[in-house]
Amino acid sequence: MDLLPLLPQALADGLLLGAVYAIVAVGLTLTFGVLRIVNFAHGDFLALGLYLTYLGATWLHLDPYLSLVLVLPLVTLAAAFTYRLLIAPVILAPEHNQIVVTLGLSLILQNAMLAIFTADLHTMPSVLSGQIVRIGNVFIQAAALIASAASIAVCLGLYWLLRSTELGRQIRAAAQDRDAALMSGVNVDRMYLIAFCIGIGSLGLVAPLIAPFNYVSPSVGSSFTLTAFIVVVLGSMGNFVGALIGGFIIGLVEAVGGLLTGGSINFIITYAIFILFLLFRPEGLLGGRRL
Amino acid sequence: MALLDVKGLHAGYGDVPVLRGIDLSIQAGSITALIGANGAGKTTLLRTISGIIPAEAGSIRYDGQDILGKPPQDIVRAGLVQVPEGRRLFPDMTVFENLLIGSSSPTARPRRDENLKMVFGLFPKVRERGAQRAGTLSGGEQQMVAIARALMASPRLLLLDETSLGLAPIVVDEIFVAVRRLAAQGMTILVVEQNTALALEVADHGYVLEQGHFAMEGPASGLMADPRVKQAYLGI
Repeated sequence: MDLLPLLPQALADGLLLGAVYAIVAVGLTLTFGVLRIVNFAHGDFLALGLYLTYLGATWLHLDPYLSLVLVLPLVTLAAAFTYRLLIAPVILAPEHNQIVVTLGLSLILQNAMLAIFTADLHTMPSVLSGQIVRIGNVFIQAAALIASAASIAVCLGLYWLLRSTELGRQIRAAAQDRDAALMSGVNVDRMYLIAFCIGIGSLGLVAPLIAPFNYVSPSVGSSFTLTAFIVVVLGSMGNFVGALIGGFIIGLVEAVGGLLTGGSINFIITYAIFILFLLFRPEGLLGGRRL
Repeated sequence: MALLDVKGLHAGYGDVPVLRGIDLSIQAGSITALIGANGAGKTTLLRTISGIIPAEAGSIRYDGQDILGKPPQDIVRAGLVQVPEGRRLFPDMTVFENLLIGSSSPTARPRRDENLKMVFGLFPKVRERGAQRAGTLSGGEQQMVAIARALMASPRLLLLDETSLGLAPIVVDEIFVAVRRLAAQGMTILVVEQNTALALEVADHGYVLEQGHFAMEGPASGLMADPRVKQAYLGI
């Protein structure tokens, strides 16, 4: 079969997917880059956002886009509590202690969602579900286009915040040298809280936007966590721009790989790339951290 | 009047005690030298004063207020600012951004322009390097930026940790001319140095730290002439 005519569609799908991967990975790389915490529960907060969107749809009959005004603050609030109760106490602890905490949090969140919502898959239709935008021979879901555009906008907005604002400068200072930041009068604890809330809060923004063309199950978060880790390693841990680029690379690899392999084994390509990077370029594409 | 008054201070890392009963008094408007060998606890003392590590016992009073246990940013805000050992600049930021971070505390923020002018006057090189990434500067330039960054916080008491370490003598001279100028303007300064001759020469009063407690203290000129100091620290 000639696959070439299908390539533009695969590339478009890859870019749309990549943008969402990018924002999820940017959140992960921000928490790692600033707090030096490896958050294995990252994707589970996306699942939390999706379930909140689902509750908004079933209880309040809210369109996913409307539930954004509830989901974003609730997920951010969950992040703030998580930082205060679980992350701050182990912020100076050895890495393996921190990993036990975030891994444990991931298990607790997943099993709590399993207990509350069962393992059934749920969809959250929107007025935009099924709406297709056609560009030549490429068909794009309107909801996916919105999610991708919003993801890119948020990434760029966060980049601007980090680079060009007083708050962003203080966050970067806390990231680059904790003690020096403390001695300069930076409230490092507050910067950690803010960075954690931004990193996770962005998931509260993404969840309602991807809800119209996704399903939710208790384990949906771990697949996002895994992909986000691959993206973050690819783009260099803690590197903001790297996470952005890595997101698009993995999105494209999955979509084009799916085209070539028929979709059944395309994840093998992603993981193969991940392993090759770990073996031959563990510092990632861009190397070093530049936050 | 003592601007800083440390009494019976014990501190350390985990189970390892480093400071065992420190009594230190710094008079407002003076330069105090703190000398001692590598590992005597000088940096630990400064980190405890700045609130980076907790103390096990004792008290630290600054400007009449108990600051022990206060968060570091509150101590900076009160005007007690440290230039850490090894400069510790933010390497991926420009020199100018490093200076702006120095004025992060709410009290220093309104004086940002005024302080920038002051540090550029003190260290013209810092202004020249403004747009450069801090990590790419020479050691001497980095030390100037580190001091300038601390000055951006409007300190009343400046703690200088191993300022001369690893720098060429001519650069050390240049930096200590600036330190003397700051003192002449009324700033209280604590100089922590392994370079004993330099520290005692610039200071009014001195302390000798040995294995976590002060073995000697007195006027700097007196310490300089003390045979024990001469033998152990000045190599004369």
